[in-house]
Amino acid sequence: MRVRQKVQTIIVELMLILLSLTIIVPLLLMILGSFMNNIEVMQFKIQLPEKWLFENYVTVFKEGGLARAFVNGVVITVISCSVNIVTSSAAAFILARRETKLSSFLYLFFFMGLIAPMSTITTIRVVQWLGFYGSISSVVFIYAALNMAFSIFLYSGFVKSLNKSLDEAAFIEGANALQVFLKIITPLLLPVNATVAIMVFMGVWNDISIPLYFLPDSSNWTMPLSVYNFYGMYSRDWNLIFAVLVLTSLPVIILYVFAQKFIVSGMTAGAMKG
Amino acid sequence: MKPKMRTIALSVIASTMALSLAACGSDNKGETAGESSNKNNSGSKSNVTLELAISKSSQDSPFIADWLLKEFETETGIKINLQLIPAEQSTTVLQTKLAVNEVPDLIQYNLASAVTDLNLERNFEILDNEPWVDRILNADVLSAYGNIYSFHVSQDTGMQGVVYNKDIFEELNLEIPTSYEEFLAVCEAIKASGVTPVFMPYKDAWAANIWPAAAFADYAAKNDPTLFDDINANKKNWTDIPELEGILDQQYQIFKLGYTNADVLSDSYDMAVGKFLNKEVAMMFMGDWLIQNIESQDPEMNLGLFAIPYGEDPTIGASPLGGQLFIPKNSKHIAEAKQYLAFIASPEIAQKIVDEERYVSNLSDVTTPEQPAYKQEIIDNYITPKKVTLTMDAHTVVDQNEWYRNLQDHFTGSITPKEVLENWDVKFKDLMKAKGVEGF
Amino acid sequence: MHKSKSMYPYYLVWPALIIYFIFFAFPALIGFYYSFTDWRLDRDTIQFVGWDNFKAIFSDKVLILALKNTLIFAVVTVIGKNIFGLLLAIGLNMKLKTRNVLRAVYFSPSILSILVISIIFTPILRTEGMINSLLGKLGLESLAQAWLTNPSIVVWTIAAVSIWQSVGFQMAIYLAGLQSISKEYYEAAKIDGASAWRSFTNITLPLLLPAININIMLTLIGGLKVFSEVYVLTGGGPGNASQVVGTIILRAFGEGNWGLGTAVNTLLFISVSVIAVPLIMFMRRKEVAE
Repeated sequence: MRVRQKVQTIIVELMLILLSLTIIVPLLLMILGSFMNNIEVMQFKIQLPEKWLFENYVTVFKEGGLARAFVNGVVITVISCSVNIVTSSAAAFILARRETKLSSFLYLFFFMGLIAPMSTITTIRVVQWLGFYGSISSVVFIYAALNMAFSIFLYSGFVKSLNKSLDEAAFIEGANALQVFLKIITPLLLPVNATVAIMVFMGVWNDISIPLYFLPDSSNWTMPLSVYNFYGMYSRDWNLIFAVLVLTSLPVIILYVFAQKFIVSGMTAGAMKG
Repeated sequence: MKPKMRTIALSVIASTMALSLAACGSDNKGETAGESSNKNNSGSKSNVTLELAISKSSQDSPFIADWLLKEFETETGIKINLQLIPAEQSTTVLQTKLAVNEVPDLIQYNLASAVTDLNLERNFEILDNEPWVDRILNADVLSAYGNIYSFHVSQDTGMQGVVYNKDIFEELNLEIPTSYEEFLAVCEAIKASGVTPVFMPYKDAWAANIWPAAAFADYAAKNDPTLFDDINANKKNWTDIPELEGILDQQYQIFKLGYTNADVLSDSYDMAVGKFLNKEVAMMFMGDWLIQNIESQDPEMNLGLFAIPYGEDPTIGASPLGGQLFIPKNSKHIAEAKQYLAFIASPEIAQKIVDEERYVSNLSDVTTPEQPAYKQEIIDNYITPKKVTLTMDAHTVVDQNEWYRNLQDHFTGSITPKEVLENWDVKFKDLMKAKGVEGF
Repeated sequence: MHKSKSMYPYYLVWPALIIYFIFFAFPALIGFYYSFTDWRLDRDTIQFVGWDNFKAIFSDKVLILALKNTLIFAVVTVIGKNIFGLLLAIGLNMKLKTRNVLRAVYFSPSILSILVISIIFTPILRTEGMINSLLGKLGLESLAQAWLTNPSIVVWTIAAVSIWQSVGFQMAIYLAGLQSISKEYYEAAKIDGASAWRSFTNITLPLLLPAININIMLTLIGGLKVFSEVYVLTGGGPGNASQVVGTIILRAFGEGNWGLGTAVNTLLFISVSVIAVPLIMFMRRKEVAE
């Protein structure tokens, strides 16, 4: 039995490794390409660069203003993610626990946000009316709002899977809803928090449209938009574009690897039975 | 730009002149701009920052060159901040900004598209009274609806035809073809030598329009001078002229006969420079700006441009594009924005730009430098003997993307030239109607 | 009822609701109004035109094609992303040595900007590209295709790329779901002598229901609203062959018909709602029943 299981595991592992080539090979095209010169990269072939040009990365940092864009991206993404996570998990907690018509309606109202298209012009009008068009804080709120439907949807599914008797026990001990949410629910939501955080993070981090419309000052723009610094009408420096894209992707990959640990430790925290 | 517009331009210019003369003494906006610039020169420097929006694909524009922005700042204290907008989004972003009144102070765009996309009359400042206007040689290339709306130091907006590698032609002893049959013979000879005769990057659908846009215009000029006006007034349909079908079919046959790159729908425009540099291809239907770009990468390249050989002795297509500067009416710093235009137009600066870019100067006190060989040839072969026709694009006042898509569709083999024109005819009328053009 | 009201007060909903309403819901609602107008940038006044825009939509044969493409895309991607995502999650929930690395690898495409997708896949999917040359080396030339330029298969290709990109996302949600299932259930089942398949259908699937719901919902909505994958890979082309409803909206905006574009948007919103809302109500009830 044990041996059979081990063999099974090895077979699965080998298959998954083999299959992962379909992911790795296309990505290698980008990673290797980022070290090539601009003629070599145009062949779009998977091969080692004739000469490893690490200076491509220096170039994009200098010419593409990546350092600044990185800081902008971190500030905008981290704040909007935090605002989103704190507010939407609290809301989801209530909406998932209450079984009234109003809570169903509100849940549906949030859910519609997954379907409804964003209306750029009217959003600009609202932000103008509030008097902070063009500011980073307006963009933070817009991102938080844009991802609200998704987060609430994700959270409430998982809140429902948590047994209600947990909070009831705490209520009997005299805790209020906020305390229950912070002390009992939040720790249990950790794996979901990690999931939501990474999804919202990458949505904001990779977005290339909101800054275009809401941040007139391009020195406030985020990293993915830097790619366009290397898009010419006539020629594209693919090696530099690839370097920007690798650099843009890195933080999210690192975040995922990091968040995985939380998902795992969250698992042990969540190992409770009704 | 379009002839109709141009006639309006001419007739209105007289009255505008009179008006501007009368206004000269009193409160002339251009004057105030000039004055404020003087003030800034002498004393306290302004700490205004101007926003200049430009498509990223135009980032080589001389109007946003580093040295120019720096020099302007040292002289006036006015900083210019660039908003580089990704090319494929620039129209939507600019439209949105204009619609919500969050406008940049300066916009670089091309005049013909500004007419179709940005509602020139409503959104942009008329520049008729600017100090540089009386030094402009050819105001037409800056005007629409009888007023100057845009600024540029060059009067040449580009010519469209067949870009070709002269060395390859010379090696194979080929002459410039002046008819379709001759063109096919040239293709055959080039193909036999192992080089791809024509590069068609029709993943970018607009690139498929170069052949028909010049050929249609030439056909109309020779056979049916009011064709585009009639179509624009709904007096004629796109499907009424069988010759147009023939022109579309010609381009398709070049592909069908194997004279092009194999994968015309996968190859994109940005590959063109590389293809020419590697001498993989001999020709391409494009504007002469491509030549300038290839030669800037490798000055040894020897390229030229000839007219689209769809029929006997064709004329060359004049592109209505170019990248002019515009000032939105709702800019918060109109005076400073105008100051920037005046700064560029000042003889020393303009001369420097014109020399660097080898422009055909549009200012009376700025001399046109010696033109690159290819340009001089175009001037000698086509412009001087007046064998130039404005391309079809100059006559179209609605968005042409659906037309491009139909051209692209033709190359998938799923529709005939006739269907291309039928589809466009329907769409064209819808668009004209939605735009509120009379007769639709 | 009274008890639940006092226990779970709405003040915890307010912050989310306010942000969501001001910065998303309210502007979106106002936006719908424009579907009934002849809104254009090149016109000074906006006039109410009733249902005209909607009539115009249905007289456009490209829209019919776009609807068909959207449905194909949605069905293919919902099935593909969920089946592959679940299989990957189950595999990567086992005690594999390379588990963490593999998770990160499979997840990585979903965090890539859509720009990367277009840049990587354009050369791979060319007629002379990597896939076809690989097929050639394997002696399978007959399977080689003009992946992105043949009008009859381009939608399927884009769907495949979309699955490639986001399957890791679905996997992550399934993984989170799997990890919230207590091991004790499986141990109990083992003691009862249940087969692996039985414990999968009797324990894993039911307890995974929240994750399945979330994933089906997200992939379905994403599939019906598809835009960026098509936009960056083909722009709706060749010709109009791969237009979907999402790109049709852009087409209308590009042509200056903003009112019309908004109308297509409204129509898309209503159609997706008609499909998704009953589904979500059903799922919500089911979750409560669990």
